[in-house]
Amino acid sequence: MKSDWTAETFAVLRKEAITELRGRYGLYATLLFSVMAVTAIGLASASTEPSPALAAGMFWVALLFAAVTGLARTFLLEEEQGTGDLLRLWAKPGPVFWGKLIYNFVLILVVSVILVPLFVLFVGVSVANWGLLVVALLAGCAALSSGISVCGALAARARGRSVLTGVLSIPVLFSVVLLGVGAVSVAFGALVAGGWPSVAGLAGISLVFLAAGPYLFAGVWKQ
Amino acid sequence: MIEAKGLGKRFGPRWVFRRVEFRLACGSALVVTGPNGSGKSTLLKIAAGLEAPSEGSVESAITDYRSDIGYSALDLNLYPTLTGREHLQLAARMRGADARADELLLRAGLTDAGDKLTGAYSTGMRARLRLALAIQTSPRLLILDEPGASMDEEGKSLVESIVQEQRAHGALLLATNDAAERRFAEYEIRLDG
Repeated sequence: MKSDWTAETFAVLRKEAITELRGRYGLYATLLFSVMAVTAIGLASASTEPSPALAAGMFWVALLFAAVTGLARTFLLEEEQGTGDLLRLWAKPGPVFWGKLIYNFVLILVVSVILVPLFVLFVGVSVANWGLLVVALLAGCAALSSGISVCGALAARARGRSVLTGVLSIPVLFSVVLLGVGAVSVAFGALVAGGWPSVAGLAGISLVFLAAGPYLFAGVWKQ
Repeated sequence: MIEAKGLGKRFGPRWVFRRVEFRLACGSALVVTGPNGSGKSTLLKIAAGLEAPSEGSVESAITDYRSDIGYSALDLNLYPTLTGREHLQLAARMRGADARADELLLRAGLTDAGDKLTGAYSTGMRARLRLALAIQTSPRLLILDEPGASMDEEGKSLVESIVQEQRAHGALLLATNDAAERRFAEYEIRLDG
């Protein structure tokens, strides 16, 4: 029996899903934060209908903090619970990186899919362009998961890893939020140009991290 | 099979050890001894490729460290929310090896506990599972860090049988201060810290 890249990546992805479903460390925290954020926003804006731009900003605040809560953990937790050496003994860095990144992408995509109907229901947002919203969410989730995963992966073996991940993530998150708000506000009906160019920007950020991430991760994997 | 040249490791300004040299061929065994904090475990981690030395190098004929090196140590934590069987299956998928889960669980005396989460294992049971994982691929180099610690008599017999088996087809690198385990090896390095 010979291992291959796909089987190894799927094994890491499966391990992440099983340990998360059984441990429920990050899943509950991420979902709880998202739902509470939407509830708070809905209560605060109960008497007024927020503008599309403001609604898009609030949507990204909820998504962003859910992402920060959950995504970096997949890499940090291995070192915190002392299981990083198991993976280093068994796996090549590439499949570990991709397996965890795909898990992160699915996690944040699920959160965003839950957030949209909650926003429509509680905040009173109407979606003007569903096609743009769906593509913007896919690109935004890809940019968020790849960016935060790379930062978490780079910081995982450092002392003060949580703080370092946060610091490394700031410029990434700033760009993602800026473009994400632009795209989602147009999808929510803002009469401004820039919806699809923002999506292209998010896709570009994702590509940069997806291209550089495996090499950066391999560099710190056994340091 | 594996040769260490001028190995040294320091944490901050403090050198844990320096100028460590050894050569280990197939069929031979080397034991590393020394007081607590002398760097025994660190030396084994460097040999396993888990840590980089501060100076010197490790050269080996090993091409795939995932299947050619077996490693077991007390500080090698397991996933508490995976079962023993799932650990063996996960390791096998990543290494491209046959899981041999039933066989290895039986060998380690964990048949009844194979489908329990390792978070519920005792210290000795976790040590047995680490040994099973270490020998899963019949590695060319087996690295054991205090293998008998926390083991009962049955567990110590398991360690002894694994060591004898390993000597027949590969090399063994062992860290221990246990007098019985020191007899497993014909060569010894003492680290004095």
